[in-house]
Amino acid sequence: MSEVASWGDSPQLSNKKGKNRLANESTPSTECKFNLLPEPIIESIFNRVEARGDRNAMSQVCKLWQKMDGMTRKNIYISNCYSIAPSDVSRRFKSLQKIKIKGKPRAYEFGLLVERWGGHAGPWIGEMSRAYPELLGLSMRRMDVTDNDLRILASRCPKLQKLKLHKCCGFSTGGLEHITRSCRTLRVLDIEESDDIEDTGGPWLELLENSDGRLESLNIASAGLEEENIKEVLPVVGRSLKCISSLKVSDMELGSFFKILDNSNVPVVELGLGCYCSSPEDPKELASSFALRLSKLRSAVGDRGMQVIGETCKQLKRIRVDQDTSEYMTDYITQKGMIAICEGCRELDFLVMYLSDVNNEALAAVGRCLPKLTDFRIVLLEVRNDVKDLPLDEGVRLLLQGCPILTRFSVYLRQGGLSDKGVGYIGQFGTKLKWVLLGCSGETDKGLRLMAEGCRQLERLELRCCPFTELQLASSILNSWRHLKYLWVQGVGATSGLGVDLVTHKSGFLVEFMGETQQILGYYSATRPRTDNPRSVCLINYVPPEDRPEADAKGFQGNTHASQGDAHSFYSDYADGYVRNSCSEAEAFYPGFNENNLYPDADENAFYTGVVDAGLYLGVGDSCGYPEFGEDEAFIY
Amino acid sequence: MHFQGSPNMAEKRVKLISSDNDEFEVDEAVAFESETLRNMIQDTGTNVPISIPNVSSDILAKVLEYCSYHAETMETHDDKPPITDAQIREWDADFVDVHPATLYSLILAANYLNIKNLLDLICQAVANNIRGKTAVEIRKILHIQDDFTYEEEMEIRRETKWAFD
Repeated sequence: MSEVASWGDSPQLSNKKGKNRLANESTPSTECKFNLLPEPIIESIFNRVEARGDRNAMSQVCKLWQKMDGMTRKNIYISNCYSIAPSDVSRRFKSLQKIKIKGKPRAYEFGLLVERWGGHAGPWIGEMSRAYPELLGLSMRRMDVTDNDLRILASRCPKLQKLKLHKCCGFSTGGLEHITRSCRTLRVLDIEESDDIEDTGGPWLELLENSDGRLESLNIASAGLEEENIKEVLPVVGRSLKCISSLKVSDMELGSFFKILDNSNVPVVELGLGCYCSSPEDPKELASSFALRLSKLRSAVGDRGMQVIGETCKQLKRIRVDQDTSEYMTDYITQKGMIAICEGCRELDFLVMYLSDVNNEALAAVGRCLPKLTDFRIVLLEVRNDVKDLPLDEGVRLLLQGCPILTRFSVYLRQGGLSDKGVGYIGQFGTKLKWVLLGCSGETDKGLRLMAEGCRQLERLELRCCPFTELQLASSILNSWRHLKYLWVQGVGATSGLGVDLVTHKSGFLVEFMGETQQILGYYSATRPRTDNPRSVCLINYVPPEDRPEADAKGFQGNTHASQGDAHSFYSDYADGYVRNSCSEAEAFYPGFNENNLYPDADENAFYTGVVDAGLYLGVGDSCGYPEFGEDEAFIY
Repeated sequence: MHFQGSPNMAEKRVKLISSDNDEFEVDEAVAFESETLRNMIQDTGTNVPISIPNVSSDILAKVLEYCSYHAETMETHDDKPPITDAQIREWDADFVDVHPATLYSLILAANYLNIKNLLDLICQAVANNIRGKTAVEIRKILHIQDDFTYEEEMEIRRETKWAFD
């Protein structure tokens, strides 16, 4: 269909076709009110628009449209389980069919998150299964799921077709048995990388034979499972899986693997074996046998595997080569493999790689060969000491210049991986970036400042072991990154002081301070702060003066000075509005339980130097806050 | 105004009168595209003109243009190759390539006359044009009044941006 300019902003262009246009249509009638249409018609229009962004816009048009969106929206994606209460979701949306929720921050994947951080699936599964008994799909990522949660889900939502538990923990094969027993129309069962899964035996896998036989995707590449059991049961169950088009297991001989797939009447589009490094021929056989749409491999495949893929899979759109921590691991990927992939697979839009070595030439190859790339992530593993070509400043520049539609950029390097100049290039040439993750990058605050000057669209920032101070972080976030919605920092800048500053100046922003591990996590929340945090997680949120109990309010008059030693008493006496670790039992609301009612130990690195109105200056040492803030409108009282 | 949807002279003709009293004459097969007209014709026959009090003549002309085309696509001619689906899709796309105000009137007419395919076509066209727009742009092109209070608007914006974006 041709573009109808009258739908857009330039009516002067509108008559380019003209033959169907009516004489009097140039002036829109005041009677044209799409919200006055009969509801079934509005519903029919709504049912034709599914994309999240469009639905979000439509829900904000008017009250009726908000209601219609609530009635007709089928899918939601919640990127942070603590950003909204489950009951608020079911209140707003009446007929959801597919729900995707993410829990813990990515730090969990690297073993950096504190024990029992949270991310409990219980409150979500409880409310979603109650509100949506017709639920078709549930995806959870990095959440704590119990067997009881799965029991409730299976009993209330027997029509469930898709269950994905990625990088989740806390459940066993007993929980999965509830699902395979009750949900007979399962199409997708995916527990990939839920590595803590406990294999308590039971016929969870056998029960798939009793289903309607239309399972399409089975992904049980999960380290906790008894491999012998799977090798025995899967070939038997496999006979009844006539529709399987995607199969992933941790470890299995190729022969048995193909035998299962041979039963299937549909073409296989995706497959995966956790680890295959037995013979150099394996990667070749795999690559040539299947049209790999999404290639997800362990780094055991090595540079040789990358070369084979580069030569064979010219249409590959996505490639992800994860770290392999297994004992068989010998063959890492280096710049050679990366260059081979770039030169071979020019259609890539997603490239994730764990490498043992990387150089500027490899990053330049990305920029030279992959103009369609939107998401680039590399991790430089700590396995070799002879990584020579650092810093990667020029490589980063060439990569960013050559990938104009890149929105996600993540480099986890090592000391000296990027100089301030390189971090500055991210700002200069990555103006469209929305997600940035930097590990061991930069030298001083100058790097972060340069970056902040450029990437004004940044929504998500994760920093690990970067030398940026809390002052510079606060300044960049509050002055430059107005769209920032999610922040995770580990390292020197991750102080409670930064947390206090952010929550004070970003309305609705909430910070979790984890002093033990020198981390902060910040995000927006449309509901009250969570109460299920362990003692090691200190929640910092801002309560406006009028909402504070009277006793707290008196602390916010004039200047208050607190020395290091007094920081703890300052928290307890005055700063309840800012710092909250817990709430009383009477207040126990979502997500349920609270283990203790103690205030956290104060961050020893930070103390307050002054309080002005409701805005709180904070600094390290004797300095009095941030000179840059005074001139900037971001400084909101 | 006369619509010759079909050259088949043996067909019965139906007279329709728009809200502004213009008379239209079409083949019965064309009128039958509308469920509402079909029921009326089956009740009262084709002798009496049927008045359509809530559809203006310019919109009725558009609707009948759609109906004649689609009635014609149903017919087979020995001498002409059949109209392909791709041709129909192109014609339809062209047909709804009009101002939102016209689409709005067409929706009401298609709804009243109960022409399901036309209604689907227009709903799809509206949906296509909503895609990629912000709430403010949608309000503007569809002339929808923002009836949220400031507080309500802030709340839904926050919730949407923070939790569902």
